[in-house]
Amino acid sequence: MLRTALRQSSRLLTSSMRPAVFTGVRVFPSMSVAPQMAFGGRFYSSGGPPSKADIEGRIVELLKGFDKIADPSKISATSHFSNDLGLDSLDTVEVVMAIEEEFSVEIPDKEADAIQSVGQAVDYIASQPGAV
Amino acid sequence: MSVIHAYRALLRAAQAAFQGDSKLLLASHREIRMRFERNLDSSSADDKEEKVKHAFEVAKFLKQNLVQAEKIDGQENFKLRLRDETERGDNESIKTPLKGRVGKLEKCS
Repeated sequence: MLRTALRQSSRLLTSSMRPAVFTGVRVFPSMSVAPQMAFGGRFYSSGGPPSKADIEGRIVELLKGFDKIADPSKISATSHFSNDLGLDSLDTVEVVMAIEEEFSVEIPDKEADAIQSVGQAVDYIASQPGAV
Repeated sequence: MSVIHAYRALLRAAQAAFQGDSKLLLASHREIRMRFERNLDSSSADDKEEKVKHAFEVAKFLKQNLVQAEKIDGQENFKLRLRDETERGDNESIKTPLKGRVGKLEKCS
């Protein structure tokens, strides 16, 4: 099984290395937010659960690091991911996953589907006792 | 929504399977993204269902049947990083290896 797995993964890598694939550098969510996460984690987690203002600030910061947003000046506490920031449905999945990582929570599919704006994300995270 | 769920499942699976391996994380993410974009444009409804199913199967494979291995310094051995979700067989077939195969083996020699 391992051998098959290795073969498969190397095939995956080889095919993704074809030049045509590189239409633009796409940053993996976990990598694009990593520096902020390391900083935010230390900075915010010392004094209990984050406040709504903290959550909002961290989500806005995280979005600023997301390279798909054409106009970062439109990022605010009320931005809608697709209507205001021009993100498509796949981008929205990536943003929500980056938010999960930022606050160390796992959002179930149903709730994740409902998060389409900064405000909804803030409300969801604020409702999670495990968020840090 | 199932397309979105498949996309999320695949990204999660890749993150688990290639943890700490930035090269593969990036490559797998690119590949997943590219294939979804391509299929979202071109798939008919029937086809889409088939492709969503395939995506979930790949996610399952990444989670259960792929492990990372790291060479141990100065040795010929690799250390495997098994995860909770890694599939473990019961190895029943190994306990009775030659049953029913002895005849064939003899013919070969």
